[in-house]
Amino acid sequence: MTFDYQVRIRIGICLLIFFALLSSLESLINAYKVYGVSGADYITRYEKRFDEIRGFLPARGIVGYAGEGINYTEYWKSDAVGLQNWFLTQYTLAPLVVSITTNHKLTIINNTQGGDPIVSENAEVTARDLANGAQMLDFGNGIKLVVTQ
Amino acid sequence: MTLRLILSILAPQITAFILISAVWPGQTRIRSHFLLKCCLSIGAGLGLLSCVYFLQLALFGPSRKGLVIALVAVVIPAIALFVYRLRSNKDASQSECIREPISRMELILSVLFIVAVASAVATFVFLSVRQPHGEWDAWAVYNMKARFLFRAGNDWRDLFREPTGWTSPDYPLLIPAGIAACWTLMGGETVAVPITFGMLFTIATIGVVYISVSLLRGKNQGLLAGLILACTPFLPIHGANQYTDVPLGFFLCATLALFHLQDTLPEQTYRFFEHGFLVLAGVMLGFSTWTKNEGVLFLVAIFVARFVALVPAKGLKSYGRQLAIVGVGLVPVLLVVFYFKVTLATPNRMLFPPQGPGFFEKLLDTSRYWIVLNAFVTEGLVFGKWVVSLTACLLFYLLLIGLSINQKEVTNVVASLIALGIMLIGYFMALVMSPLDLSGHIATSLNRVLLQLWPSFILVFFLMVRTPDQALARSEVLSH
Repeated sequence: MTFDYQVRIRIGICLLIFFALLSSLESLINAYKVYGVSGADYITRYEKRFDEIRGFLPARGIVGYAGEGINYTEYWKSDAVGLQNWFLTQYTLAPLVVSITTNHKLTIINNTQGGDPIVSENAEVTARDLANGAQMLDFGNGIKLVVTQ
Repeated sequence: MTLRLILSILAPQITAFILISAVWPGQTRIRSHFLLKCCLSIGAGLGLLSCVYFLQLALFGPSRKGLVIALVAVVIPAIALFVYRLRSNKDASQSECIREPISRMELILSVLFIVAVASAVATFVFLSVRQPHGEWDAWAVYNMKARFLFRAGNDWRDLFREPTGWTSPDYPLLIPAGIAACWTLMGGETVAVPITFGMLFTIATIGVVYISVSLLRGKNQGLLAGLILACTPFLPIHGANQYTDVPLGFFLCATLALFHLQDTLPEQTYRFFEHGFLVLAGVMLGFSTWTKNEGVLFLVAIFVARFVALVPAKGLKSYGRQLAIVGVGLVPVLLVVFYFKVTLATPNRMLFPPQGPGFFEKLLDTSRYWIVLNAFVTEGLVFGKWVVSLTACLLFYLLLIGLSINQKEVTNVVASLIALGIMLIGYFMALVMSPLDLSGHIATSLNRVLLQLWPSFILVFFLMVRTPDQALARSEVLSH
């Protein structure tokens, strides 16, 4: 073995460290690029959609859920956006159980109508009578509540 | 709020530090292996908090006062055990630690390591500000469960009554219960708690690998191992995503590190405490089963791997004795997991799927094996999000530097490699037998499950390769 072997060892160690630090720096730059203002993240804003409806829901128990893109018999085959809306509704309203099963006295309808679900303000609540004595409350931001007797 | 956050997280970690110091083999000094104890205390403390909270909730109902009493009930015996240890070796000679002067290589590597850790922390912070609720699994599963446990009062069991089962009620509760426990102690919810959990586990994982390799193979090797791990972008990214893969990765590598330390670190012989590392390995192993279901696979992998490696070398009696000592740390945590599985959890969807092709249909479908194998190879080559292939770099480094395993560590290295191999096979078969859409399941989970093994792989890798000092000294000898 000659002088070259020691140089190769040093170069090998330096290359490993160089690529490691370069990768870390790239990750840091990418993270900085997506860095935003605190409180403006998607989920914090999404949760605000449910501020009005909370007053009409019980603190505990189980309520129904209906939303676009949900496969009610095989939920794992649902549209990704539909699943996300359902899971975020559950996350927001916990410890209320939000279930896509049927025959619940209260059923939340979450419909973004293909648009951005985040709205800066909730509109006034409007009520509409449905068949069989049920009533629908519309919160004006794609969130509705069906109350059945 | 900040003070309450610090206290709620620090208190269990101090308790864990006292317990770890109490069973630490050798001399019981606070400063002895201080940093390693701190890193282990992070995981052990949060695990301990989680177990105490869950048991108190399940047996006595939600109560902030009850939780504080339960924690005090753990702290007192911990302090008593620590005082007993201090008194039992007060006559032992205190060996002086002579610090060798720092070499230029060590100085350079230390600076670069600090830069790497700072970069990982900064990446974590930027991502956490952008997504304080974490990514999909965090808000859909773990943090959602924490909200249930904290908000529901006496109705917390409703968490396990969702009719469709999508909330994964069989998933263990270390992270959700730990988060809920901190909120209970603080008296309010804050996203700062799950973010802090993610940060602590990320840092502690790097710390355990760096310090363990330093103790076993020298400072330069440890710094290199820690630097490579800190510079794996997946680690701070998934730490900030608040997924449980990083905490599980911590418990896996801590378990393996403690097994290695048991046979290699010099210690004085005290009855029971000479095997303190094995007790702590049992604790970490137990907490891995309380973190994710993959921890159960790891438990089996450890038992099988150590049987295969230890019995030929040291005999069945030695293996049995080790298992018994590991059990001292493992069993208390396993009892909590067992209680949870028996009283609350529903059957695992992967083992008992409600949908998808039949068991034998999947087992005999060779196309599934090829799809998964292709995914493993592809992901293995691009794993980590390095600018070049991280796997190829490490392979190149191994070929250049060469292998050099300490004689004392051969059995443990073999056992660790077998355990990691069993885990890989387990993950492989879990994907082959997946009830979900195979491509979708691979796309959403493979890199995360590999991340669980990554810190352990780095640990074992740098215990196997020659150290930079050895390689450079060897090249000097060969050149003369």
